Amino acid sequence: MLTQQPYLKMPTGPKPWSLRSILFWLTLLAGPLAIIAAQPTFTATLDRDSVVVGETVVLTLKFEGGSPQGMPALPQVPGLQPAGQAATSINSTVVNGAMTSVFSYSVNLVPQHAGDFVIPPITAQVEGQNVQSLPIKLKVLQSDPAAAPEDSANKLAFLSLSLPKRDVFVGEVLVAEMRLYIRSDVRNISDVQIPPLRGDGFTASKFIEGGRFNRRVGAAQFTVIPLLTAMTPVKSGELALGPINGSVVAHVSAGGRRLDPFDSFFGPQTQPQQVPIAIEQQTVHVLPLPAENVPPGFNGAVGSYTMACTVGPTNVAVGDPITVKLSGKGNLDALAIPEQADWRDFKTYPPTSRIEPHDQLGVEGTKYFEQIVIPQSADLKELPALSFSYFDPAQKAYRTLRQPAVPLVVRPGGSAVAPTVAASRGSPEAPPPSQDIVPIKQRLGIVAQIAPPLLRQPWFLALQSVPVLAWLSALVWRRRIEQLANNPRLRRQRLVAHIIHEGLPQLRRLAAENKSDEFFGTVFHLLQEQLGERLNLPASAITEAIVDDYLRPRAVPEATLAELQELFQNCNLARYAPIKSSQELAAMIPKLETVLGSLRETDL
Amino acid sequence: MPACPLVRVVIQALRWLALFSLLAGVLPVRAEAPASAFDAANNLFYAGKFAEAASAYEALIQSGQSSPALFFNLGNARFKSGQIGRAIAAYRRAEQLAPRDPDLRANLRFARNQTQGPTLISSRWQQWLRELTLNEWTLLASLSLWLWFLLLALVQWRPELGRPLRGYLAVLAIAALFLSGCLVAAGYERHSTRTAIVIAPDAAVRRGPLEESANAFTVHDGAELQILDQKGDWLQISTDPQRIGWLRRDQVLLAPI
Repeated sequence: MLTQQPYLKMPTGPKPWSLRSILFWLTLLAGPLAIIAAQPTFTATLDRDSVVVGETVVLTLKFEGGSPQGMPALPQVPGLQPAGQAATSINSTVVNGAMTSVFSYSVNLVPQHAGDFVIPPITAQVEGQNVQSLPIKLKVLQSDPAAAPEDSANKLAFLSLSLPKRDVFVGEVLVAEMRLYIRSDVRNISDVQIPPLRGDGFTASKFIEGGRFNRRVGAAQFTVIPLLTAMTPVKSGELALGPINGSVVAHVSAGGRRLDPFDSFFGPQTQPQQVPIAIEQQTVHVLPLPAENVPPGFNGAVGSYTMACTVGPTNVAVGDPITVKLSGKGNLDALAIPEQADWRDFKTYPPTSRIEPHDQLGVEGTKYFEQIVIPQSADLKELPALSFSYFDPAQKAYRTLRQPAVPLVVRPGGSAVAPTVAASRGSPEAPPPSQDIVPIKQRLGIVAQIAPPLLRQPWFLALQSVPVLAWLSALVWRRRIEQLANNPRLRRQRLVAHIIHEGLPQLRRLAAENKSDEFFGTVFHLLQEQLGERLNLPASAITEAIVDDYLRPRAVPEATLAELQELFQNCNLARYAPIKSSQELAAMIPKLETVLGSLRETDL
Repeated sequence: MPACPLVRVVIQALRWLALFSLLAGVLPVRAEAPASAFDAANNLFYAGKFAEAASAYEALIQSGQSSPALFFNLGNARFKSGQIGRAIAAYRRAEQLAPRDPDLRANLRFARNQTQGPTLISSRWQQWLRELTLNEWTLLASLSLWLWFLLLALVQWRPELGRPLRGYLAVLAIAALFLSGCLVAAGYERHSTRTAIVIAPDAAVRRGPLEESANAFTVHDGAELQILDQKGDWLQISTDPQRIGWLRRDQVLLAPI
């Protein structure tokens, strides 16, 4: 029996024409599903779930995994009349050597009046087993609220847009239906150019073509091709959809000619005509979500949702993972598990998700989440309650779904166990044997490259020369010190060189200051030091007589001796008759340098 | 410790030098690397998808990431997948970066203890040498040589310190000699001895480098072998002086040096 039931408002607006099977929790059916998969299946679907009185809707019965014993008996539903004979089809495929067949029966049903109908479960026999379909809902309208104006009947083709409502909330999905009407005398259409439906402030899904049907507009019969898209407003205000300007090439029968015998082979001749098709701009009033009574965990989900949650395992050690699985129904793309503030004692990983759409638009379906949570302490007794909040546009209110807390048994972590075992590998220790490896590390840590050993790094090898060079330098320095200490003449030689090095600039200064006495005193001192060092005599014993007594017998050049004597005489004369000018004093310095240099170079 | 302030300054400088050299052995590329892929791989591990987790860790390594935790987790994933040999190889790579990690040492020991059949067992002196890494031996020998040479330089500079420092010099000389010897031995042990890790469940070791050669013995997944020679696709291996044979190259992984 087909029964009529009061119309139930669907969660997210008008639906496309596919069957809405009853949803059940995946977690509850995980076991039975495995069993069901091995049994023959029987599904009953309608090509549309909303029609107008007088239109035909096609009921399809599909059998997979087994051969039915003929067309099952259809339950009688008052107001729904079968029309015509049932059509039968068999589709067979061979996969990995195994043949699979799908048996289908199609029956036309014509509703006699408006209302909401429910086709009850249909029972069939498949290879000795009883199988049953799910109930099917059908909404029959007295008239089409989106009917095209009657003056469109004179067009070969036109486009219309139907919106289920004009007042929506931000984030609420709106299924827009564009209908392409093709008049019945059009043999064929080609080059269909329909731009996508766009609107500022809307996101849109791809177009899905629905099941074609026939509809009368005025005096003409049209074939209607529905094109559906899901639009979601992302901001509030008066938002515009469209306009759309497109075209289609309609192939109309060429009129006023004799019937061509070849028409039966190649089809009647047609004339192509390009027909412009357009939709005017539509306005949608988008309301903002209410700012009052917003639940704390609300993360923007708009629609109608249900939630099922499983948690497992519930007897774990610290650091072991627990999987939380969620399934929900509604606007799926934006659906996400909100942050659970009460789970602060758990380390959580980003959840993975999977969507199982129940329609081609993806507006309705089930989204499965799996989230790994890791208890961080053995004191935890439960996984706190999970809450999910959403805005129900039908109720115009926020709703919160709650999964109660799940009791847990958390043991101390496995890393506390001493991890060595008793295999003989030369280790002197014998700690208690471990039962498992230490768990994985949570953090990547510092990224580092495996560098070559230090011995292969040139900078390290170069660095090792530092102490060696330091020691060698100290050694050389020490040798020089000792050499000096063991050679008094060398020491005196260096001392005298230092005295002369210091004395010459002093002479220049004295000459500049015209200090004659001091000048000649310094000259005499320098001569004494140099001659004393060269002759290995005390400096104080050096006088002018040295020239004749020591130097002349040693074959010192006469020029040097002459200059040397002159210097000594000038020093003596200076005591009695000082030279006054600085220039004269300064002129003596080069002579002194020459004499001193000559004495150093002469081997005495 | 000599009372001379200069000596104290030198020794303190050497301490800083040793610390710097220790840090220079591991070149930090970045303090933080993209952790999301690492977390995703961990996610797979927790979900029980150990093979996929291992592939994810390998992909991170191929992309240039390298950290002790990454190799450690790869080892765990391989171990849980039943690939003892590959787990040991991953742990040994982690050991190069974090030789002192107690978790790593524990898991490596645990994995080795799961190995069945003949496997290479290090001698006592090899185990003792491996208590320190090659870089650590290098730093110790370098430090002792530095101290010795710097003390020698100090004695040259201040000969009067020669007598009080004589004992220290002798000790440092012996220490430098000993540590340098250990360094040479460690370097020789690491670089002259190549090892391979069996990754096949059961690998037949043959008497010759031919498929037709008779079986000598069988080694199992996770066994560590010393490589003696190589001919084409065959490796001559040994687990002990009584067991020498030839094994196909594709049945082992070469252990990191």
